[in-house]
Amino acid sequence: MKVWAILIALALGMALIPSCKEKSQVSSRVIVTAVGIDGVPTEGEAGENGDVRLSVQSVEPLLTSGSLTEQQDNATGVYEAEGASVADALHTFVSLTGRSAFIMHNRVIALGMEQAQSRTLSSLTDYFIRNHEGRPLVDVVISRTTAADLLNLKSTAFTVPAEQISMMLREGRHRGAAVRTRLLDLERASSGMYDVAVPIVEVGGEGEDQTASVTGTALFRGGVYAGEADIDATRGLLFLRGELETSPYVLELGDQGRITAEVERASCSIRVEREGDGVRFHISVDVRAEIADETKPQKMMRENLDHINTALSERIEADIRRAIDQSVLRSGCDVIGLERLMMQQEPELVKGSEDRWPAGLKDCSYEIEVKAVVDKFGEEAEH
Amino acid sequence: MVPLKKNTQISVSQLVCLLLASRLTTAMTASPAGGPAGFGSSMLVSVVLQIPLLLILLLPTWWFSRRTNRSGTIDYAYVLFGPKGGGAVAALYGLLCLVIVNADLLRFQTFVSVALSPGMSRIALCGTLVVGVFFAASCGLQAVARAAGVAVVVVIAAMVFTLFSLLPEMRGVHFLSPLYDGVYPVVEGALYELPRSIEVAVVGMLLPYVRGSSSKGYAVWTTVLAGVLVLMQATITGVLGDFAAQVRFPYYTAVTAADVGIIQRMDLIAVAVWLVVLFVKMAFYSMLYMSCAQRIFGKNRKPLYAVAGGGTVFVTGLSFAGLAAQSEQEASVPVYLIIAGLFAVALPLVLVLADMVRERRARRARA
Repeated sequence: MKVWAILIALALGMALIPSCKEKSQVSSRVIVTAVGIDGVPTEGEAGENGDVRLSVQSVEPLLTSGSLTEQQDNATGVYEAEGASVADALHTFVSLTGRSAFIMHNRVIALGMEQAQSRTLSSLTDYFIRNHEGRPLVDVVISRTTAADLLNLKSTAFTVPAEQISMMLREGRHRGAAVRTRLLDLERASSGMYDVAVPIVEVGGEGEDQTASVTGTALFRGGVYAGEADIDATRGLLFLRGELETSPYVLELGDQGRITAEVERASCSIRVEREGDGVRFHISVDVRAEIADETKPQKMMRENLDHINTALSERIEADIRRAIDQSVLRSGCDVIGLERLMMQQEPELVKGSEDRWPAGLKDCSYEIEVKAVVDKFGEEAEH
Repeated sequence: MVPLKKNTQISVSQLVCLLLASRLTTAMTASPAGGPAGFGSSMLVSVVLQIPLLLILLLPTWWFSRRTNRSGTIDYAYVLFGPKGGGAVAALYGLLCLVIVNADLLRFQTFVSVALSPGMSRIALCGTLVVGVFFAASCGLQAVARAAGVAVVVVIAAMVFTLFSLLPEMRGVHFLSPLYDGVYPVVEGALYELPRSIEVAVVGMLLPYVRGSSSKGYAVWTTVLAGVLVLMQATITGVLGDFAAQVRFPYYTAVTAADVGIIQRMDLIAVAVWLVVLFVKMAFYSMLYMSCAQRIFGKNRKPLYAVAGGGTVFVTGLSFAGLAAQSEQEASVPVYLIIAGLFAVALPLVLVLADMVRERRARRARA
């Protein structure tokens, strides 16, 4: 009897839990897959009054039948809503559509370049950081034009277009063309440990021929836009952050023709050394590469292996130097985490003079040593 | 001295599991807000430094245990001070257990409203939890201890799995030297962590329930606890770095960053295992409260004690929920430190001293 009474009490309690009680119908929600944030154009100046225009890319549950991959047509649409803030714009969105936005499956937060340059990252993404439904692994990307352009991009390969953007960033990082920044990176950077770099995507073409590609990296100092790194510098950043997985390098070898060396493995170590009152960073990069293609007979290429190794090392060193130049020296951003490395290796340099960094990184010297070795020739492994 | 043993006994390993489940409930939702948990790497040393401090806290209970041949503090208080004095000690223990159950109910509400789903009905959730907990408590110590064994294995396995799944999100630059800010933050962190191990307060009461050496079990608990806490702190620091100091539930926030194949969301697993250890902990202390009530008022009204205890916890839990959500966890640190000092140090020492006085008087009387 006692057990039955307890079981009935438990069943009653569970019945009162909102998920059972409120029965939120799927048709009353739109499942958000990507959110774009732009400014509201006023008097010819985009976003001058501080209002935001949200582009909400979402799946229409009523248009879906079975799994998304079995859809005949694209079951996603892009809504637009304006408001004084992101939260306010989402509220407007609910008023306009009569349906609530379910952001748990959101994959991408896209920021229009104008908004990224005029406002702080924290003010643009705070809603998503605070929202308990939000996920920390959401990709954050900047659209060279407007976020709406990126979200309206038609995808023929993916049922949910946001997946294309997400995949592009993942592959971009894998191939050494893009940094991949998630909401978690923005949160971590907000504590002041290091600065944040966000990939820039550009939409090109017209109508059905529209395509998107990564064209650089936006650099932020303390959440404020500070500059941009090009694709070569982006690759250098990936080397410095130990995030580069693979990347092709086309090497012009004069009489010996042209070869493409594909980086297969890379490791980077940064040593901090005192240099008087300043600091010297010893950057040591070790690369293993494979010949992906060549224009001359293999035998000739093998005979010139040292030459190839030197050419590859020089190219990688140039990328790394470019990354330091564009991020640290020109933009004053510590997206590599150099200050943190100093705190690890030479804490006395930072303690008590925290105000000096990361601005002081401009006065440091950077010694780069790249050792690239081509040790594979396609199918035939040398070692 | 003839030991005052209980009919219901648990093994030493079950004691370790009970204490671990109880402590992990606190650790998984520990908040750094303003506290030294935000120091990151220094906490890796602080949690290890906790071991000797916890062992020092056990010394009075260990002395009491040796002197009284593993009798419980409540039972021995009855022997030394009679029904009134013993009843007062039992009442204090009962009250302590209710306070701990109540604190966990508040923790549960805060976690649900901040991290899980603010829209959930607190009355329904708390009512369901309290009914379940007091039902489990009425099943007895052995049942709760067996559940604790399963819960601890599951929770540690989940933590190790989470750590590995979060490796891609960890960054080496997040780890600084534990002594980067000197020794003070490390010691402060250890002292801050110490009252979170409130389990030390009830070890004296548990002595007669344990088959074997409770002290040995306690020592094993502190060692395993240090290992698990290092694991958790490494996860937090590796994933969040200094950002951990800005979030309310750092371990949960770190776990939400895991993305594992088809499971994808590890945070749901973390919440599930946390609910299991929370349930075990609340049932454990509810059971202790009920045994205190039985000791004072007799053994025949068990359901009444459960209803009274459950009702008290439910009402106070709902009444103080708003206050608990607004206040920082460190506000309770001095309170728990005093509680730990009273029950783990003062009470066993008073009992030992009273026993010595009684022995001396008896010797004089014989002479």
